Amino acid sequence: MQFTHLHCHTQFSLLDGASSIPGMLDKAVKDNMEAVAITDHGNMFGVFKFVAEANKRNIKPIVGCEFYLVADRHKKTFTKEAGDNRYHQLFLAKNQTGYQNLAKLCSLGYIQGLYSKYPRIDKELVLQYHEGLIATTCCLGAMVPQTILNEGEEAAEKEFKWWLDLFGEDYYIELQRHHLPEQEKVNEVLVRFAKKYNVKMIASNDSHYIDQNDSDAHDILLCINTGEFLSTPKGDAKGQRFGFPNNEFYFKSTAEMTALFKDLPEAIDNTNEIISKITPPKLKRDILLPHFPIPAAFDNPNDYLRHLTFEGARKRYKELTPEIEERLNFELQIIIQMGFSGYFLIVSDFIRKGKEIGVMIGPGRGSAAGSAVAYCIEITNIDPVKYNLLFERFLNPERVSMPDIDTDFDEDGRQKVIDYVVDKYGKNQVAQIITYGTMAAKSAIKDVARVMEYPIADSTALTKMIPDTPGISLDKAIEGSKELQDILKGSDIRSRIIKQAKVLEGSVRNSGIHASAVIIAPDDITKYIPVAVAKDSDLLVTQFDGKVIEDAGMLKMDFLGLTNLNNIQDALKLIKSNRGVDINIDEIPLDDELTFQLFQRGETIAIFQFESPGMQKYLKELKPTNIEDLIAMNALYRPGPMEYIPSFVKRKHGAEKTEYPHPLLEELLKPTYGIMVYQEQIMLTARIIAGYSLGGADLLRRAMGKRIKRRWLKNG
Amino acid sequence: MAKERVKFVEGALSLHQILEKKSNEIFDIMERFAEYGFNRSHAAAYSVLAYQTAYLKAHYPAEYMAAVMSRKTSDVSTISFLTNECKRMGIDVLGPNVNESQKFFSVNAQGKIRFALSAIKGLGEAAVEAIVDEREAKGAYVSFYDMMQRVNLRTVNKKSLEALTLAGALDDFNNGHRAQYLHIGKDGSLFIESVAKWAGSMVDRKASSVASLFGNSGADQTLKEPPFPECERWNMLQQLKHEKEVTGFYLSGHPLDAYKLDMETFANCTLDKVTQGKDKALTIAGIVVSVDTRVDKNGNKFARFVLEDFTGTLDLVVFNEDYIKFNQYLEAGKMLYIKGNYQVRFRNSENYEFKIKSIQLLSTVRETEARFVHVKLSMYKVDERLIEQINKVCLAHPGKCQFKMTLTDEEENTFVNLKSLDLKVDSANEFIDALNELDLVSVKLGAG
Repeated sequence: MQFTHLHCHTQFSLLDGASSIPGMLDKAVKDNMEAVAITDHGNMFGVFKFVAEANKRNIKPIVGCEFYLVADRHKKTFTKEAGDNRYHQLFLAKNQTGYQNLAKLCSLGYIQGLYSKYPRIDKELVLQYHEGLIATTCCLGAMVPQTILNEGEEAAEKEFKWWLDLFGEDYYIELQRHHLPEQEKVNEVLVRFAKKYNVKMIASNDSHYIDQNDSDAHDILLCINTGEFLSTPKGDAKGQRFGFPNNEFYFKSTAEMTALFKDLPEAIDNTNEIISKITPPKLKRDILLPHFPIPAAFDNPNDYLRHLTFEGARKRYKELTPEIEERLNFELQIIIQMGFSGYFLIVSDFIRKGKEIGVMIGPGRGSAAGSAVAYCIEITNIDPVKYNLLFERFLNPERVSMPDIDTDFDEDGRQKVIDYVVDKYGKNQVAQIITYGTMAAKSAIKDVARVMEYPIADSTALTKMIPDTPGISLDKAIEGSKELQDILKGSDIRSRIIKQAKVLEGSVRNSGIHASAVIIAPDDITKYIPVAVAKDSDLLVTQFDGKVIEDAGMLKMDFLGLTNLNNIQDALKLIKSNRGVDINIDEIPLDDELTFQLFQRGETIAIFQFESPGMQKYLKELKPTNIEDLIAMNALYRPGPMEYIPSFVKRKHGAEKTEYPHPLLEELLKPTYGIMVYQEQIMLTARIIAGYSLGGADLLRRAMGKRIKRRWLKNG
Repeated sequence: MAKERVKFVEGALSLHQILEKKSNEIFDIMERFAEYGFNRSHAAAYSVLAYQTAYLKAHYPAEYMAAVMSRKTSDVSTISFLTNECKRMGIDVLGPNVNESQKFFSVNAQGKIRFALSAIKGLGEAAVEAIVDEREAKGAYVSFYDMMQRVNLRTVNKKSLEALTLAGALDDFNNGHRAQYLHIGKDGSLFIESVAKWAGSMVDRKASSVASLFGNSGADQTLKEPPFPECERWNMLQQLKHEKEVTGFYLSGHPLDAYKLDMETFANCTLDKVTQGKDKALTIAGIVVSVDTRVDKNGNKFARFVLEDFTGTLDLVVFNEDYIKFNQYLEAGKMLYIKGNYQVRFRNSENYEFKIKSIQLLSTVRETEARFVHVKLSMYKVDERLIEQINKVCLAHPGKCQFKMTLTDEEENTFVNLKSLDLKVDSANEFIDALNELDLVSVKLGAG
């Protein structure tokens, strides 16, 4: 007999679900389940991860959500007597359309229906977005069961018919058996409805944790959520706390479910029918580029980009040599061929706008500085030709991937530019990215200890036994500590705390907003991904986090705030007001004696990227005399390449012989005294010595880097 | 990777006739550097940005440092770090001043950095703007009375004026006699309150005379200004304590300034050098910056505290018995003289700690430790008159210290020690100051 769980909460039902997605799926695999559903409360936070993890295990992922349903999602003022009556409602996506409607409902639940911490939808929305969805009578907290209990069978039947009329074949009677008298009563009526209307029944278990043993941990999680103590009795009255009625709310095995529904085997079997009519949605997709409006004189974004590039080039370069023209054409050809014209136009547009409104913008960041097109259309402000920077390091024609243009803004200007983007593309097309705060090893112990009323000082002593290594897990910590192993073997409260903390470790505790990333969608964003809203932001926030958002097809851009740009801006203002001197910081001479003396003396406190004491020491030894020396030091002063600095210094001063691997490489390696400091030098070596194309050379460089990383991982 | 190597070697051979051995060698080098190679595009862009900041620091040091400090106004430790850098650069960082300070750190006409008004705790943003805007619109405030009539007294209220006083921002109006502003008059109100009341009536009178058609032009429009009260000035320590309260810094000096001589004489180590004094008996001195008292697992109290001198800070801990013995000294602002050892921590041979043996107040050290006063005089300057002057000063300050004199010849780099016979002198500052007035090479104290 096959059975599929269609009602499953994960850790993304924040502080209510204790099941980790991989853990739950592993149990499903062990039990030979074919498919599993995810139906978190009110959100789809975990959906992307769930689908990916299920695919990894060859399990059919069923995407769903258990919504909060109210009479009127817009109503947000309530009285003590007539509070916010929220009913649960389960939907499963039958196909791609269903997924889109699910995302739409889920997004609107937040955008229009958020009250307290509950995203809420209503029947009006269900009527509008029910296509492709499967609905069930859900749990005890849902409309039909509640009506049975409160208003009787007749009223419930009316309610039932509303759903049945709307969903027809895709409406199911959901039976749960958690050994609760009320549930028995409801089930009795539901079975009658099923017979009368010929509606199929399915069995489910309201799964909130993986194993029955985890029920205590789950109860602790609820206490963390409500700020209660475990010792407070459960109940609705004053002095009592929220809690589940028993320990039946786990991811039961097929055998357990089959036994539970021995009298109604069809309810087990019908879960298979649902599975067979579902085509799991595809969540992974290529990046969707937003549409950039272009002037009427141009046929397409490619022509417009070409126009802007050459218009800019005439300003940037005194003389447009054939060499530069060739480079620009080459870059344009690749950008166009890869379909990124719109992307370049978008970035160029908001950077120009930023400059126009007085925002200070960094000269460049990351590999984008290697593009001459980016330089011409003012995305970057250093000349890649002059600095010998490679386009292929940025966009490799032989390896299709999304270009990554991140931009630094002054701290105050950053928001102004984001506001412009929101204004230009529409509030419904721009979003920030959600982050999830999870309970790490130490915080899991702290939280559990508090709920179990273990003294703070003692729980601090317990957390002190866990090393400060970032990303340390409780298992790793126990493995490395005899003390912890002994505690765990014992039977005192500390042993229990650690055991429960192990179950809850990794639970999602809260959500936040990524500090710099913004996505721009080609159209209303809720057509593609579910979004939410956040208290401290006017913008929409994606429900998928940064790790997966690009896989979900969303174009991500980093708008970073950099205080050093404020420093420059503020200093220029002071200089102007004090001394009447107007300085264009982008036009200062790059061979200024006084400036290099400062570097040579290592007096670099408050100097961007060069202020650490170690750097000061090396600068005093190196005595840099040109910008190339600074670029090299900037690249070398990092864990790893740092070991080459002494040699670099000696070679500059002739105390060590500068040698080249081959005479052909002399010109290339001269600025770094024969040492390969940059990835670009490795690429160019492959081209000079063995005739590689730069794209091919980039692949070679990546392969070399990866191989080394793998070796590191093995040894480390 | 093996395939890539073959491709590389073949390419090198056909393109440049480079032999296999050599091309393999080059490939090996590439592999080695691929581990670390950095993205040149990023390094170039960020180095240009770094260069821009350095250019500003080199050419416009005061403006640049003021700009950097302005973004850190609430971060005391960074501001103090940057202030030290300014000192090293020869740029004075002056305390706040209502006639010169801006909202953020700024540079005055003499090229000195002025403390930001927004960095004064208790002074709201509206008050800062009221003070700066009025001054920029109509010129500097010529007196406290002038200022009080011109600024909005609802925003520049009692709390703001207290903060300005404590920070020294009103010093220019009365020669830095800060106690006057907060002096409580006979009517029980602070001087700043009396002036505020007076200024309020002045503003009202002017307004009503303008409003009245038949303005009584003959009548006197002015009320008498409440005069600055007579009272005692705060001593340096009080003044510094208040400055630290409202700005986080000692602005007009350092509480330890008065103990420079004692610290030089009786401490054998400055705080920045403690870690170099492994397994040595050290004496250190400084001011307590903060104290954190806690209870350990066994219910015993222990305290961590931070000591600061002119060179840096040191974290110290006292447990159990030591806590009972020393806890009365552990209070922020107390200036201490501490003897101890920089030694290996119990059971842990790699960590060193400063183990305290004794603590006493820095102000009592001279009394207990000074054994002699030692002056050096130049043989080119010594004459009967100077000897007579020294003698006179010594006789005027009798005490229990020995008096030593050394005659030096700076040109020959030689010296002769002269011993004073029965002269017993004091070691107090009055005596030392009096000696310093004379034409001597140096005046020092000595222990044991």
